Amino acid sequence: MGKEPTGSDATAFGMLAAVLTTFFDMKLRDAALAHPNLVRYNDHMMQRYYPEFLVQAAA
Amino acid sequence: MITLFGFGAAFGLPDPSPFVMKTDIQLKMAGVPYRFERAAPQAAPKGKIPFIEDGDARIGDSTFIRSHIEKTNGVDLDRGLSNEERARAWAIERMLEDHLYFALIQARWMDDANFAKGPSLFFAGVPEAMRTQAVVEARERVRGNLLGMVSAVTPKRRSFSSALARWHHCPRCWATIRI
Repeated sequence: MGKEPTGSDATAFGMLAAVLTTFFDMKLRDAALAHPNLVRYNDHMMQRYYPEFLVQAAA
Repeated sequence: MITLFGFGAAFGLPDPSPFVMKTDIQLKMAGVPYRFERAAPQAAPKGKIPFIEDGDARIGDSTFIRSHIEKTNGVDLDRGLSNEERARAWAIERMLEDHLYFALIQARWMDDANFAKGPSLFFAGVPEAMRTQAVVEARERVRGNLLGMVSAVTPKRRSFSSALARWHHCPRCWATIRI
């Protein structure tokens, strides 16, 4: 929410990153990939906080 | 200085636990100096990772950790949000941590292939003679917890997509309006 990430963004991103990791084969991941905004959000937060873990999701 | 205890990088992530990533980022957001250490849940005050040590205080549960960081450093990680936005943010957090999280655990722990390459690695330190038994017992425990979470087991797929669809459509949610 808002222009700058807030406390809840940390919660949301942590959960989303765990859902979107390519490490597991999960229907949950496929479901998240169907929402481009969630994928963009994940990449944006990953870039900001953990750039070394940024992987371009093969959507 | 605060020490954050987590699992450490695994599964292509800075930490396998969403709750560790959350606390890690919240410490960065707060601008508080801290260091990271690996720990096992057995060492945690509530048997759960993450936890922090701040002087003599040991605090478990990522939500309590956040509250401690905000209080002791005089920061508000929701600065700039209206009361209504704070309420909505909290509701979203509850949905993710009390609902979606269990779908994640189900996918990691109950699917044999995912379990083999993922959570089974947590048992690498258990002596070989005891490992199979430890793994079976741990998976049974997780299965029992999941059965308690109706949302995670019935009906599987609708539960995932309905949580995600609500997230997608949340009117003021970061992901839909901002990026």
